[in-house]
Amino acid sequence: MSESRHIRDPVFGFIGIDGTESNIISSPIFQRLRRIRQLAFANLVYPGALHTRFEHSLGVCHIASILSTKLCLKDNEKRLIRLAALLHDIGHGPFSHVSEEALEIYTDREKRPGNLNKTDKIHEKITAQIIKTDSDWNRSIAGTDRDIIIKILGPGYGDPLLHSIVSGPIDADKQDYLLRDSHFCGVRYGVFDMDQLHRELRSVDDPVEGKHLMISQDGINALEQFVLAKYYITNQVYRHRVRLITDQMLIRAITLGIDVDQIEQLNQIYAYDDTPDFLQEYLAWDDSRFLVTFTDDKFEGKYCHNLLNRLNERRLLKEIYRKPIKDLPEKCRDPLLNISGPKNRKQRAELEEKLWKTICKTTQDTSTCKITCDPDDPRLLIIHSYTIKSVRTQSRNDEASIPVDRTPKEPSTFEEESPLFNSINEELSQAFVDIYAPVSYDTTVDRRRLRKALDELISENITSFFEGGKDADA
Amino acid sequence: MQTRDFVLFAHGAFGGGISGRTALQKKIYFLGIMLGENHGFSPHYYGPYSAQVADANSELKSLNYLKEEVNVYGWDHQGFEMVRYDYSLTEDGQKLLQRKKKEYPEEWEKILECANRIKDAGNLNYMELAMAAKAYMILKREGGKADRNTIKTVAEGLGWSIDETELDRAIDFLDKIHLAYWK
Repeated sequence: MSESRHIRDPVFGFIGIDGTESNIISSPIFQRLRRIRQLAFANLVYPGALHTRFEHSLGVCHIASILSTKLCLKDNEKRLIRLAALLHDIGHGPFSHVSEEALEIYTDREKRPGNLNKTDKIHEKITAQIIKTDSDWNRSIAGTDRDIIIKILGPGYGDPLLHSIVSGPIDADKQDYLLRDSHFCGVRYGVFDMDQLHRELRSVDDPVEGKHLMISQDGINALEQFVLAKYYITNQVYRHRVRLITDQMLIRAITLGIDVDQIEQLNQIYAYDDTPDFLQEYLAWDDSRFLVTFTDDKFEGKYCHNLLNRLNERRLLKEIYRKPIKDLPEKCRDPLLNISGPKNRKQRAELEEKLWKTICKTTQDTSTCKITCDPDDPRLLIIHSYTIKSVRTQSRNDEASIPVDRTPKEPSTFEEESPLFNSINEELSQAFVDIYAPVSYDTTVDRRRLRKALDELISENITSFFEGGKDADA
Repeated sequence: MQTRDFVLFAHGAFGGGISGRTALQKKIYFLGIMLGENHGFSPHYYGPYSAQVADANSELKSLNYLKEEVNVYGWDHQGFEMVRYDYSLTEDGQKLLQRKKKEYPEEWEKILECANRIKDAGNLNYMELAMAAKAYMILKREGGKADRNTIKTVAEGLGWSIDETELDRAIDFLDKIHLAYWK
């Protein structure tokens, strides 16, 4: 690769790019990534977290390049890996992962737009469609190269090693976001020794499936550090309480905006089909336009407007209930863990309506807490369930099976070779149910009082909802 | 059918629980192949692996539907304990299984039938199941047909420290669950 430009990056210093990459970066479609923040509204917790998919994409390209060189890829493979890394997030919609959830809700999978399979991720389909069809890149990327890039981003080209550089347990994407998100959030959780990790990477040849990524024994500590970094930043940043609330508020703004406010513009962004018209509309949106458009006065009185304004002004819903799902009766647990899924929206709305009555009554009885919306309207109450994996579980699913070079012996696995992970006892993952409500209080004492008053009542209401029994009175 | 229900049915169909994480992965892999369902399996150096299945199993544990027991069966070359993770459905898990059977009766019957075929094909240990999975990958690469010697040659190339009897068992297994067509 002949580097024609260097871009100053706060994490890696100078990032070199060649002429083709420069053309791609200059295209409007890539520049749009400057207006899509990496961590949506995480800046409401970590004020520095204003970085975007744009610089992240450059960082991933930079790391993918280092990995390609280290793993002795051919020049052409390296060129294509760099392009795949640069374009891996090109299909992100406003507020990144929030859009993925909205696309899942409003896309008619039965119609199989774009030959969408049951397990396909819609934003990855959009990414592929952009790479395949964008006319701005006609002179930069040949048609055959576009097909290969799409295949590298999916697991369908060459050795698994190629795919693992852009999408795998220790891919360039994860390496960049750990370091970059730490840097911009001002935390040190995502830091790991990247140089040592790269130094100790190898490729191992599997006669059946081709080359795989492997690590030497001297790299085990760096990989342990990477695993822990991912665990800490997930819990401290990505799963931060306020981040969970803001993401849910955004999703609710979109769903109410489409279902109740009947804003057709919103529906057009999220009802995916594989037509050029959809793509054109989808790509016209970014975080800034989204916020400016739907907080405009013409949408005054709409739910979408209300929730987005709350986000803009940091008047957030409050977490009033949090419970490990296993602490609830048996019949509730399985449906409760599914309650946030797109197929269970009706059931979720019914449960929220039921809980809202209890919450309103309890709040009215508590003179220090107030409801901050129409008490007859349950639509701003959000019940949300999710799992938090233990460090051992997280690592087992991703890094644990990375082969470790023990030449002259046959390779072992990271899980077997890591003394640290061997000594951590297996810990159960935890599944939680949270409730976020439009309430306000003045002090943490008031907050605690409200949560205490609601805890048992909400649990009883959830139980009676799934078991069919008498409601608990507030 | 969502992966969590599929994993629940797999535990139910294999007698209320599966012993060993590798065996769990490989048994569910073969069930998926037989039923035409993927559930997130992708190629790995040590054979097919699905984080989706591991996550679903972990969710069943976190909801107290599944119990995990850690059993020490030896020590490795560094002196660390070698452990096997045995899973069994709890009383709550059995209740959930009964409800899900009513919800998905056809799917349950199919999974049960395939699990019985896997059981009847020989009580393979986790290493043999992993070998069978790899052998199946080789077969697929060869267009669904290969002779036993090809499988053995490729397996040797992988550096598997196994004897021929073990590999024969893996190959017989594929035969018996009707996933192999030999030249």
